[in-house]
Amino acid sequence: MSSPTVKIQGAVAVLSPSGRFTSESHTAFKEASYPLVENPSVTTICIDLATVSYMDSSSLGSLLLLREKATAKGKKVTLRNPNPTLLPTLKMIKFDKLFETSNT
Amino acid sequence: MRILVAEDDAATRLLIRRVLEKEGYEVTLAFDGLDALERFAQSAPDIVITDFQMPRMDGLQLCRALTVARGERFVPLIMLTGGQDADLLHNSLEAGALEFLNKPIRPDELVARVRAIAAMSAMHFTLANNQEETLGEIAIVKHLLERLTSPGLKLMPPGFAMETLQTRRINGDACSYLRGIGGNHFGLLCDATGHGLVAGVSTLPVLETFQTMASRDIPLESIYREINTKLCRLLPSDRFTCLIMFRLDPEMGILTVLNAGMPDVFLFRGDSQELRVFTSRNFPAGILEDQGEIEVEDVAVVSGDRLFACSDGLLDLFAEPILRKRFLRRGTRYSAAEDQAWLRNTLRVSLKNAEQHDDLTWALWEVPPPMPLDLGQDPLLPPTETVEGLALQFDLDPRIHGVRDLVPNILGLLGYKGVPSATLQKLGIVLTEGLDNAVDHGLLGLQSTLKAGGFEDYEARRKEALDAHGAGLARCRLALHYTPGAVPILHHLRVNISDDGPGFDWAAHAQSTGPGELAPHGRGILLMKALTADFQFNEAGNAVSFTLAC
Repeated sequence: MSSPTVKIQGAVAVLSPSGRFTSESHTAFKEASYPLVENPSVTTICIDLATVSYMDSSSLGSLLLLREKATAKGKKVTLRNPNPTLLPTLKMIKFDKLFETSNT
Repeated sequence: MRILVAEDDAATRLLIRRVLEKEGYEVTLAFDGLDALERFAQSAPDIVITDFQMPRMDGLQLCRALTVARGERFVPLIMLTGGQDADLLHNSLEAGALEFLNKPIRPDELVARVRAIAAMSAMHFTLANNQEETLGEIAIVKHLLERLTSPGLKLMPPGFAMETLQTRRINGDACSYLRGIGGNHFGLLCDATGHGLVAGVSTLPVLETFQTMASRDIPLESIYREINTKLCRLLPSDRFTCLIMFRLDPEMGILTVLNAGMPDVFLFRGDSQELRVFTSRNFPAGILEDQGEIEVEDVAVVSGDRLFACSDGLLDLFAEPILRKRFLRRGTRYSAAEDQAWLRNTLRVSLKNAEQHDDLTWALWEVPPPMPLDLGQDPLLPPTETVEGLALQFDLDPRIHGVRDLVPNILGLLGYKGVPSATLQKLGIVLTEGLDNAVDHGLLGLQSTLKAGGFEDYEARRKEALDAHGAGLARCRLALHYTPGAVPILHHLRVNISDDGPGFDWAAHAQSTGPGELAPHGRGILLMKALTADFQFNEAGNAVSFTLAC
């Protein structure tokens, strides 16, 4: 995975990882997402999974960590556009109930 | 760092020694190849520098000999050569040399080469040590997992198969089987996130909690809650564990499944070819400390039904869905043993073909037939003079407390008081059955024939009746009888179960229920009668008493 791109639109920051999102992506994901938690104008961090082809269990853990940090600051983490192979797994572990999940 | 130098020319030998010793290396000198080989064992050098041309044994021969002598240890060999002849260099590399130095020796070049090689050697040494340490740690965790799971798996009844096929690493998969104090079968499949030691270590509290609680026949929801709380507190927040738990009560014909983040569990119906799917309905353990309601599914099962579950290592790619499809098509055409053998074989082959894959855990259980009932005469224990050493008595309001989680705790206490496990197993069955009867039929007035309409339907009717239920209790008294003497010995348990309901016509029931009608719902009283002695109803039919030998 290359570094995720970040777009801030008002109070919503959209973070888009791409390709394989695995344990090796953790540092890049952390570096891109944690500043958003600290950014006072951002209230929602939206992870756009449209171009993510694969996630391993460590990357799911990265989402949990981010959620924990954001919740502590009163912010929300949401998921967007998981591809059809990803969605069943997210549902299996009920991540769709833990993170607001939508398609655009 | 120690360096062995093989050089027949005294001047060169001394030059090398002077330069290297000034750099702080410990130097051993040899006059030729043979001498070097002899000194190699005792001086155990980290680096060897050898001349190409020497009497008795030349540089090439020495390199070849040292490649054997050093074994697994990494000892870089530096060859001193007179020129850049391509063949010579090629032969030296073939023989095991790693680096070259041109003669005549230039001290600065010698120092630079040796420094570079020494750094590489040190790094190699550290890596090798780390690997050894990691392998050691992995071995410890594997040993612990093995110790925790294998004794139980060895006790699985025929018709049950369950195993974890491990890769070389630890990937956080584990499975466990045990029989609870009341005779129910419990199974666990779990898959912790991530790889390596952390994944392995996080399965330990899962296994330990499962085994402690399941052995006491505690309901799956409570076991799951406890595991979840432990993982939330013990593990960092990016770690979680997916799991499946089963509880199979072959006497009552009830299977309970709890799926938290694992792939679908399948139940193949032996008779109807119907397929029941248990999809994950709960969060994996270790994510949310307060999950709200835990969802379990209860289904009625009969002997011959088959349960299949497996892990898929979350998103790690593996051909497992294909396997599952193939398996589904097979249904129950083959015997459980044939299916288990087929599955084992198929998995082994696909694991061998897939290089980078996750662990895989699977379970295939065939529901065993209920205990054969001896419907002959009611056995009477020979009269013996005994005294009550301990009596437990309780009244239960079904609007507030259930029977299911009460029984295991009573069994646990009696086990602690010395009641043997064979007696506890029977007591678990008859106590559950007796209290269920007192509540469902005695107090709530539900007919047992309702159960034939399906478990879910029965549960719905039961809930309605419970909501409409006024006062009225189920009552139970358990007495432990001992033979008196200097050392009192536990002789038997006498149990009375009654309810505030109007009672039922037990004499007519006994007439109408022949041995042919052994559907699980009609078996209750027969089962109780068969497992106990001195089985009696009162006149009204709202109290039953029986004895269990110890």
